[in-house]
Amino acid sequence: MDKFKSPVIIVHGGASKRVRYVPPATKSAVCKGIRAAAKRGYDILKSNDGTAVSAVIEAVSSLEDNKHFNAGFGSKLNKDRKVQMDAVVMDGENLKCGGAISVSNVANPVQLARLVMDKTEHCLLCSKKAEEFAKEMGVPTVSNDQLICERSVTLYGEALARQNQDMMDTTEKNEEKDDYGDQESHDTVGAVALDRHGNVAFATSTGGLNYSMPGRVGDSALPGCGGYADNCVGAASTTGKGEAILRVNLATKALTLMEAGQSPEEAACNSIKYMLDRVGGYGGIILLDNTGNTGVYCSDNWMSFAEIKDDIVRYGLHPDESKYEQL
Amino acid sequence: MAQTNTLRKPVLVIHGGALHNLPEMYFGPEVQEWKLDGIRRAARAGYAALVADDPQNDADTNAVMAVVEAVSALEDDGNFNAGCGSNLNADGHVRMDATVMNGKNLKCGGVIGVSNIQNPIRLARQVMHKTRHCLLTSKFANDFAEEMGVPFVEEEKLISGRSKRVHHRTLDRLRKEGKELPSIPKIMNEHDTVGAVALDRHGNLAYATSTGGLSCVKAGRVGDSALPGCGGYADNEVGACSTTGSGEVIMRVTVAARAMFNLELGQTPEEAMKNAIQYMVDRIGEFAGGILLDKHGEVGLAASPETNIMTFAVVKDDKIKFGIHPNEPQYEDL
Repeated sequence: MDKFKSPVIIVHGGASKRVRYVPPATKSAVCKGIRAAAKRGYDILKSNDGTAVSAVIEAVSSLEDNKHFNAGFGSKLNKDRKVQMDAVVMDGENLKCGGAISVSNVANPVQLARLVMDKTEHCLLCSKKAEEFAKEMGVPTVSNDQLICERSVTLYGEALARQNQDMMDTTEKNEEKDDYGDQESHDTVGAVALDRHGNVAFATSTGGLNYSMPGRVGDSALPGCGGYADNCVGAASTTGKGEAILRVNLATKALTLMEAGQSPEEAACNSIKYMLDRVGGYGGIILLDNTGNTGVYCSDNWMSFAEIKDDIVRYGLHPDESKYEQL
Repeated sequence: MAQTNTLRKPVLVIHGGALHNLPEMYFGPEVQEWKLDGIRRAARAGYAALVADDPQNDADTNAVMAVVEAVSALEDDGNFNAGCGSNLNADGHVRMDATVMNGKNLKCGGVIGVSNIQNPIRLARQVMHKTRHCLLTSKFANDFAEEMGVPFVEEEKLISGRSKRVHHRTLDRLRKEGKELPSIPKIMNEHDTVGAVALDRHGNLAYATSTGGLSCVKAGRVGDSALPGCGGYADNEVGACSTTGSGEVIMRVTVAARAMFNLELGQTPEEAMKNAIQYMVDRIGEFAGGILLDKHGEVGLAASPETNIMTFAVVKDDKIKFGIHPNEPQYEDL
């Protein structure tokens, strides 16, 4: 008889540098949302034919449906006031992956990513053609407004105001100042899981940067950057400054460190430090090895997360401030 | 700008894409001659930029300029699957991906699914320099091109004899396999994605990769060439790589990142590139070719066993080593 592994899931709700006051109600809602997402994924892992892929899709979909996270509903707005999302999923058993890049008007990009993986010969589809594929697959179209929440609108408005202010400013312009949108949070979401059969998977989903250039593609949908999954090593999902993550191939880096013998905890910390060292980027990562050891690390001051293993939930708004509860 | 001491011998390596398991008539003597002419022309253009004076701006290095010039030349050529000469997708359109990376600071720039411009690699460099992002896609990449003053090019100007030939025989193969568009034939092996890696005298490394994508592919498909870590990578501390081949499979094992990892483990560039490709074949299958440079200027060229041709050129010490396959090198002076 096969010996089943003890399933594990980790979910994150995005790394960011929060500079302004976060009301207790918001903190509570985020904690609630992240735990709920992890539980939904864990329930799948505990069920008879629950797979790691299904678990991460379920967990990430849950966060996409929640306006408190920058994915799906609640996504940030680009400069054109439009929601453009990226998502990817990868199956560690066969290294198959599927992703949707720069898509609009769908509620759950991570589910579209799965369709790309399962129903096409390809790994990534982008833009209008990805949306057409979604329609072909019967994925319902949602309006841009249906994906927008109050917070996204506020952040967008602030960025617009900053740019307008800057345009009226007659003093020497700082080149970096076109960074009107990127004042705060990234909040890409993601999950990694190990199922009872020993398969690992990851999924990552994002609404991108606030007030970004339309058509900007970050790390999230790119295997090796937004995440990676390989039964021989483990799985990773990343969050933070997208360009920085891309430039150092953060997920690959973390898995490579594990391949070289580091624990997920060490690899999580060292890969994030590497990114800071090489390109000055901040962010977070959740890591699993293929025996169920975990690593969660963040160099920003905020990364909501929840990890479930042996029916115990570890969660918090930052890995350094973990709380526990028994399922 | 003061000249620093010459630390390294500059080296440029370029490839014009790999073809696998094809009938000989697809790459007859005429086609080979065109490709060899093209690769040598690109080698000279790239090398001139490599050994030129230091670039005027801080953002560029000679290595970056060299790979951009070399790949631009291949994009202009018409006999390679990049720029003019690109494959046509299932909708009959030209959609191109290109990325460039500066090993000095790990900055990169790329465009995904861009149309109607002559040199995607040049636009990729603009993304790297003129935006705070790495990748722009589709219509928005074209909007950015317009902002940058890049001329709009009618699509038919990007469709060469090669584009049409490959398109027709892909349609033939699909018909024989009983498949309808959009679809790719069972063994899709006319890749011809082009790329370059360079090491300049200051020790800077860079890579550039450019492609017209798969012939008759589903519109909107993004392959490995658009992804740093898959289609290529550059890091002054390690090396630079550019790949070509089965895009999905290269992406699933991040071939370029794997080659770089092998260099870090102490393998020679030859071993590192070969092992990265073998790793891909062992884990999943299909085909790939790649070029790799380490930080000392050692060169590695590798291709899957069933590779018919992988045009390449290595320029070093004012000499060009080139050929239709790494196993059949020829030599000439610059």
